[in-house]
Amino acid sequence: MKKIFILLIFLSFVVMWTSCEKNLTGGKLDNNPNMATDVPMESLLSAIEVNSFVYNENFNAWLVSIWMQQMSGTAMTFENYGRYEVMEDLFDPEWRRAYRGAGLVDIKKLHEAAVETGNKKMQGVAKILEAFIMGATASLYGDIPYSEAIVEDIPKLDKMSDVFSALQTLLDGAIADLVSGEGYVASDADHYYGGDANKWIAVAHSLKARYYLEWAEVEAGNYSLAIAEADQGIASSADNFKAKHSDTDGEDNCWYQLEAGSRAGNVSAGKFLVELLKSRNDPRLEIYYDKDSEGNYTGSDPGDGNSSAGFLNPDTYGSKAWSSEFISWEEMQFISAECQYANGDAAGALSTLDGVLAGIEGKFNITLTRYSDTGLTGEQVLEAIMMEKYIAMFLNMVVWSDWKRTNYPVFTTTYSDRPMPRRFLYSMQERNSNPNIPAPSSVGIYTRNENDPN
Amino acid sequence: MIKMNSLKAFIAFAAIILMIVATSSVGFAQGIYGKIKGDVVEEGTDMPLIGTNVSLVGTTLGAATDRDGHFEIRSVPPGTYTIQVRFMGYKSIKQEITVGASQEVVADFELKVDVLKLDEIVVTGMGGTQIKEKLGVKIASVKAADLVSSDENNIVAAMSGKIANVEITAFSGEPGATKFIRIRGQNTISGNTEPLFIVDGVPVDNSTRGISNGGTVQANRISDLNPEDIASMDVLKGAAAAAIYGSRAANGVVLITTKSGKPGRTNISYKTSYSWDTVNRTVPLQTKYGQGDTYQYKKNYIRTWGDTLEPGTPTYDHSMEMWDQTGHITDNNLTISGGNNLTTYYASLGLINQDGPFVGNSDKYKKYSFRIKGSHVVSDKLKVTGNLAFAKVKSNYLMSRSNVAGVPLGAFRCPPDFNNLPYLDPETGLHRSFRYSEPTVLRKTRRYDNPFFSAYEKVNESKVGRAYGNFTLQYDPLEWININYTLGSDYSDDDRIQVNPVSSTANSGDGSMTRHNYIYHEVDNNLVATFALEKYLSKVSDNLSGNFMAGYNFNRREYKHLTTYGDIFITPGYNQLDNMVTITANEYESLIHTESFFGQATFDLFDQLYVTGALRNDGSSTFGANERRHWFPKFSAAWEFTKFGKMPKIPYFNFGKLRFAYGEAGAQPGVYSTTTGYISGTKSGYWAGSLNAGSYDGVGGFFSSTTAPALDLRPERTKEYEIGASLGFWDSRIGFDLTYYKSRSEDVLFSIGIPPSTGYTQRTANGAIIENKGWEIEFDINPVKSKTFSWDLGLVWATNENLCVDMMGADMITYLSWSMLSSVAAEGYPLGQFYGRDFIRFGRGINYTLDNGTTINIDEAYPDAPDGAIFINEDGYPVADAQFRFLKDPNPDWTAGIRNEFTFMGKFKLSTFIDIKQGGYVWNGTRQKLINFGTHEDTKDRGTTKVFEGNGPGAGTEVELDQNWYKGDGSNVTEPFIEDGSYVRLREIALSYNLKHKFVSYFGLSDIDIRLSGRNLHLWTDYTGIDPETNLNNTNGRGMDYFNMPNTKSYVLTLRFNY
Repeated sequence: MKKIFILLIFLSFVVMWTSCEKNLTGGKLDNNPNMATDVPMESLLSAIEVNSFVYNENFNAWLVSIWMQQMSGTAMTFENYGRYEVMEDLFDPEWRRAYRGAGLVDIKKLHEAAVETGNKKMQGVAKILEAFIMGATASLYGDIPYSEAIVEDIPKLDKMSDVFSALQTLLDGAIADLVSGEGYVASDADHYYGGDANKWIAVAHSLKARYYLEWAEVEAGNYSLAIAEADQGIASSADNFKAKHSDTDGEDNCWYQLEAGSRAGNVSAGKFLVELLKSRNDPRLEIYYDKDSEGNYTGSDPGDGNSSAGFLNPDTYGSKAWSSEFISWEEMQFISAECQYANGDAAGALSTLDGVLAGIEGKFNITLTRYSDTGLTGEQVLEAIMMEKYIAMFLNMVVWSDWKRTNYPVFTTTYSDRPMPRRFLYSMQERNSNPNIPAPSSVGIYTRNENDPN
Repeated sequence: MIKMNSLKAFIAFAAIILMIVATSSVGFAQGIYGKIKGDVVEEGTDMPLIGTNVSLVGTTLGAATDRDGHFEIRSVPPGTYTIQVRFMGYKSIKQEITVGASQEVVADFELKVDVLKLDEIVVTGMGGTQIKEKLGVKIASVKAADLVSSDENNIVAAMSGKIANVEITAFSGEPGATKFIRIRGQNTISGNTEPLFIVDGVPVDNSTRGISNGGTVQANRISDLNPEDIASMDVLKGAAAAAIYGSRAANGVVLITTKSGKPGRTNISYKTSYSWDTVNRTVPLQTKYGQGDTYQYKKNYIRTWGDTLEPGTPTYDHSMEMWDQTGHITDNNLTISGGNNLTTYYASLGLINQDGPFVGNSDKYKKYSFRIKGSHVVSDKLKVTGNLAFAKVKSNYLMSRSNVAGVPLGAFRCPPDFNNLPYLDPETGLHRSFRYSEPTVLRKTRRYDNPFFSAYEKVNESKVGRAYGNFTLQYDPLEWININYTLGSDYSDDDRIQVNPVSSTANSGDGSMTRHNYIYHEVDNNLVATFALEKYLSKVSDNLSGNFMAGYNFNRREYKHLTTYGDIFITPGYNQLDNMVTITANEYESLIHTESFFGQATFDLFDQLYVTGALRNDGSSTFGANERRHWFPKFSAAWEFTKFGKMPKIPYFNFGKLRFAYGEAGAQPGVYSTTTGYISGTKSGYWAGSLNAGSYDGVGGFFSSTTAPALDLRPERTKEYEIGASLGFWDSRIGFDLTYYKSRSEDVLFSIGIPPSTGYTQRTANGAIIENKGWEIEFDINPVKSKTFSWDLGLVWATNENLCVDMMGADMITYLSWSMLSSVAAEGYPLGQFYGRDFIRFGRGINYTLDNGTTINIDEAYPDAPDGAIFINEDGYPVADAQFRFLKDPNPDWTAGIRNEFTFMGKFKLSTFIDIKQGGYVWNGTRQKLINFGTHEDTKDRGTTKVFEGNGPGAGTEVELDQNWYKGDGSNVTEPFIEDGSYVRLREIALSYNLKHKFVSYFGLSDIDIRLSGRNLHLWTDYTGIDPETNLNNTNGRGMDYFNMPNTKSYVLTLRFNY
């Protein structure tokens, strides 16, 4: 009797012990009900694209445009940035944006979800978005965590060249996924192309062209690769890869928001580009910029702090609904022209250059000077192409890569005759928590990139 | 899942019972019953000891003494028994008694005082009890009478000063406002710092919900418990005592046992009390200068640096006008209890109706509570107990603290020449304030609300319904085995409405309304089997005895908070969500399961060495997936060395015990710290520009949250050891108890930054280390005990030293982050350390740029200046240091309580309780801000001159204390406003009389207790603001006073009618 009883007690404990693990997991126990744990691919895609708008149109673009003297930091902390006075913590927000929610982590989740559902087209789009944001990040910072990013607790730094070759492979995969025709991309959630796979294929080729060209300084063979991709790239200005903005608050252009808020006057027109356009009688002066308070087009040089200089034209680049172009038919044409020149076809290069200028004329309804009959030769051809690209790629971060590679444009002024920055500083938070990240003292803003030895 | 689990435990238990019940004989032995009766009195005074427990050991038979100290045990089968007479604070008596068939045996007892209360049965947790004499760890017990004597209807407040190292902080003197409790210092950085409350073996909720730096001070939920229902309270102070509660016990455990009915005649007691409450301290304000700037009157101006008020100019006392009333508490309580040998019952009904001393209708508190409890002996093996309490609490609160609608803020910042009354403009009927004195527009911000408007027109109401209780089966299948199953439940619903009427400053005058609904439900299943091992151990040795306990616990906590915010009233004055222009809603919910197995073994060796070892294993859904279960061990030993044979007898030294205890207890990670998910929202640039990724061009967007999942999250673990001694002298009329403890909390959780390239930017991690150590002394003496006069004196004294030892190199964690001051957790400092702006001082290597542009190192330039001296600038003023500095520590150096009780002729009783706190700085943010505003009394000296003490180029210069100084560094620098918060407080003084007269018995009553008492009547302190026992919010910072509500003092008249 006693023994049975004691046995029963212990038996009941054993029964409870064996059931214990499932008492502690499942449902609301380990899934936070206050956060979504499973969201449709469309919701991720939309957020990822919006995040890429901010990445390419907010602070990264502002700083590149200031350093490339298309714009100028004219007040408050932006004046310091114009003097190349930047601290590592300044880069925290945009660095985080590349990787965290709606950045790389969610691009990978989107891809995963697309793989699970066998949606090839969505996989392709995810790969392109990954190549787009990681390529931009590598261009801005040089070596970055990529192969171990998201995966490891302390991701290692990948060499910039390894990042770009991985991205070329990724883009090849993206093209294959999209060409397969399997799956779909929801039209309303895709703010870039409304789910049009062919347009995405063209963007993949365009990115490949851009990335090949970025390495042409060290890999001469890349000119041929770039032109081949550019030929399959975005085929018309109407298909440009651009942000989608509207007059609705929260959907408006980030440049507009910069000037509309308390930071008004902090960033103004860059004197270099203003004067360049004036000297060329280029009608884009009025299309790009706003007049100053005196009614003139003026700009500010680095460190001048001339905040009375105008901002962007409030009806175009400075307007609420202006959609910044990130990758364009125009860029493909410039890439082709540069590659033609590099491959010895100067005449073809100038003809391509005239072709893109004709396109820009039509876009803005203006008249521009053509080059075919000017008899330019040798280096002059390259200069013509690069200067026109610098003007045409207004506010686009690609001008910084071009400058690093070709040394065009040749800037007449830098702040206090200092050299010009060649990269961003690594984020302070990343450096503090990741021992693989070098300190600003060893890799600073003047440190050359792997693809930019000269 | 929960149902499955509790069902499983229940079925297992029920199956066992059925089996055994079926095979055992039921019922009591037949025969002709006898009876035992007698009286129990106190030795020396012959005063009857009411409620003494008289029981026959090994049976269910027993009784409690009535109002005359009389008891009767009926239905006693003939035989020889051991009768035990036990009363808290007295030595118990055990003796043999023989009852013959139909015999009536008379047995009278005299109990001796024992200030050490060695015979007291102390609840040690998870169903365990121990005789105090044998305890190896310090457990502080509070008598019901001591709780009731505090005149507090919140039991946390009632504990103030009574237990060493149990620190109670008020947040406001408003009716119902929360009281914060902390035991032996803080051992977590971001987690909850309050102990776990257990009522009758079941965890109950003591949260204070929705308290921030501004807004209202709401109630802590344990205040729903009626203090009259409490029989005893035992406090497990630290990990060494509380380890048996595992991962929820690192802050200690407060064990409450409610009253039960006792066999014998029906006891009816009716208590009624009425109080007169007033504010005890306020902030001194000046009445010499008026509204304006640079000695000029400026209408609607925010500050009071205006004209010198002409004699005869009417001024208004804004320091008192909002609380110049006398508040009242009406407290009525009826309890009925009784029973027989098989069945007992207890029922109580309490009604509290309080109107505070504050102006307006928002200082009200109403509580209806009842409890019914009954037990029945089903068979000699099975006992069933049911226990249910219900409370309905309706409370109204005022706005205070950092809040432009706050009552103290609106009053104290108001210039003395502005009359806040009437608060509605007599011409336009609109809300007027000193910053908008002639209102013409209804829907417009008043910048600061008129405090009377705030008090009369704002609505902040909370309605709580709460039901909690337990169902218990006690089963003794064999003589030496007891099985106890308790199913407990605690359910509450807090329905709140907060209204900012149209024209109030909040929401730009358009008004807003928020509805909150908090629902909490906790279910606890506890199954414990206790095995008495005497029989088996005695075979091993005569000097060995002990028991073993094994148990299982399953606990479920579910929480939901619904918020509905209504923006802009369509029609003023109609407080209904339908009347709002826009409505937004938010929902939060959480669910936690904790499952535990535990065992405890206790051994008594040679009747003088008592050893306890326990082990608990906890699993919780809040632990990381890789850290699902954790062990919490405990060991304690007590050696009563005065029983040691070779110990020489020392005169007057009758009892000595040495204690040692070690234990580990935990704190669970915040719910869902281990998980991550997707959120929706905007993507914002650092300086400007944000895009709404949550909804873009009509498409809903989601993205991953910034917090990484933490699969390795462990509970915080506090390891504590404690050593102590209890000594008794003069036949235990003098008791001395000394304890030293040291705890080290490891794996303390906080949020750390991780590489963004992982895809996340922060993660909750284990890592910080916190230490607490201190001394606790209790001294009790009963110097005189006679029929005409008795005197009891008790003293508690305690220290606690807190240090944040390690934070893994992380930056400080900020509890309050304001431009004036932060309260922080930082490595090398006590938790809550003040961190803020100081003057430039010597000894810190500060470089200073003089007026001529040259920069000097002040220490090199003035080598004679002592370190810490203030640097005096060329103009003769001190200068603010640009860098924040660590300032002072809000934790007290030591605390003490002194209790005296005098009894005259056995009828009159005079008792006093003095509460002392030494050290513990308080930030007088109210004074700091009011100096800037020019309303504080300290600014009355404006225009006079002063030579600032210090060194530097301007040392010795006589400078004017002008408005530039007071508005500038004179109020920007926080250091001078960190004040010593030490105090001595006359917390309780009471005179009571026990009326036993023919007149009383004529009404069928046994006696009437009449009591006149004072609560918090006097406060001695150097603090210059309100009562320094205050704090801003219930995050983990301490000692912050920023337009906090004042505290109160009371006179209370209580009548208790006993039947």
